[in-house]
Amino acid sequence: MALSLDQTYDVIGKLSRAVTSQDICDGLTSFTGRYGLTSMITASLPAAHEHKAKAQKRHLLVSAFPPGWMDRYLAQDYAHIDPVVRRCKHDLSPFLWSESASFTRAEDSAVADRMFGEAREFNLKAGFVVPMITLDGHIVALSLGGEAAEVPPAAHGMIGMISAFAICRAIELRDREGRRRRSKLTERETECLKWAAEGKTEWEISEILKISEHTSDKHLSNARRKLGAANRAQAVANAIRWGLIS
Amino acid sequence: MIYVVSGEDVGRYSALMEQVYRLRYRISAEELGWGDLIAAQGLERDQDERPDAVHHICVRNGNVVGYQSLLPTVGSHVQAGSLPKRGQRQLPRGFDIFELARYGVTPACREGGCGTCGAASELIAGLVEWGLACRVGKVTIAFETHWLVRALQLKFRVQPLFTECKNASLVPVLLEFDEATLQAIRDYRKHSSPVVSFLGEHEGRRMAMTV
Repeated sequence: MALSLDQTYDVIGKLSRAVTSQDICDGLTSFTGRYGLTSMITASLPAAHEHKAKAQKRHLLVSAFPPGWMDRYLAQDYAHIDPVVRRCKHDLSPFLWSESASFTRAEDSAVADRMFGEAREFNLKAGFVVPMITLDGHIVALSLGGEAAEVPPAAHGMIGMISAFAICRAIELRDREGRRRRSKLTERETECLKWAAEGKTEWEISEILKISEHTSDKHLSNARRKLGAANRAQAVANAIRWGLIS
Repeated sequence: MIYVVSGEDVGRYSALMEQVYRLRYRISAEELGWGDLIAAQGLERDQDERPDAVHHICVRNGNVVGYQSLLPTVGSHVQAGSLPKRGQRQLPRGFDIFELARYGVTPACREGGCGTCGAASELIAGLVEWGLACRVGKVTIAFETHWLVRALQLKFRVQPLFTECKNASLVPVLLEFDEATLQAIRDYRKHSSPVVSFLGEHEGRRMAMTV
């Protein structure tokens, strides 16, 4: 049932090359599916004062549980009573959902029972969680769920290892998207940068995009400014480093 | 500052090493409760005291606050290790691969996760600086699973050395690093100056440092 190391490297390679949340989910569950773990989310843990769904949603890095479940979970503010979340704050070892029961507060037990009951309606009957610490000191948890979780203890370490790559890639994609939004590059400016990265001159770019040389120069100059670059080469380098062009 | 001391020079820097043994004792015996060390009079020495070992000692105001030791994976002192076991890969060996054998930071200097100038991150910076100066680009380590994301964010390339592992919280991995890793660590620490100082037999390495 365990992967060979070569197969493991293939899964890690897939995750490291992922460009969408779906790629991350597909890459990870292609491995964890054999243990009955067929869907996933990964998120940083909400702070004690964050009760609104909108605030909690910002913590989600990848949300790929069956449709409807996360909306229900957030709307009911389950994160603050969920024993799985509570255990992540106390113990950073990977664990099965069923191993978090002792973290249910007495006053929350009825709500927690309801939550697990509702999760079962979404085919989330069992699961496995991998907590990690990020560079900025936050706890991020990756939760895998499915109809059944048959995870032998000897596999916990590998699921933890592969989940780390999934979380890291999810953080990279989120940060890249944030930079893309903040840079406010227009489509034309991005296009001009792409051609600049190919070594084209302003005149050549203007020919390719059927615009004047003055306009292509203007687009590149705007892109330089938005990327905080001193010159065209640095603008291209920043755009590639930040994943704005590839 | 991280002082790098060769195993051959342990006697030459005995006062410094005694502080290291005391720190190791505090962590091993007092925190981890390794009972067989109780009679060691507050000092913890073990089989790592080999001439080919490399000691990295983090010192603040004259006190040792952090420590890590590295062992070569080739050479006359290398024993046939316990790896590989079932589901584990042949332990990689080579002149450019060391084993990170011991690691510890005094509780007062541990980072709460977000500190940027603590002893822990200085030891990481020291490991990579030392490696780049000594042409060592990889270390094998039994790594706590929950630190894996941080290692990846610091641009270490992480390779599992197992397919199945009894202890899910501590997994054997190969960490590979280069100049990009050092830059990522320095960016994280917001501290771009070298942290390593080579002592004794290793002093010649200072000349080799290009980072």
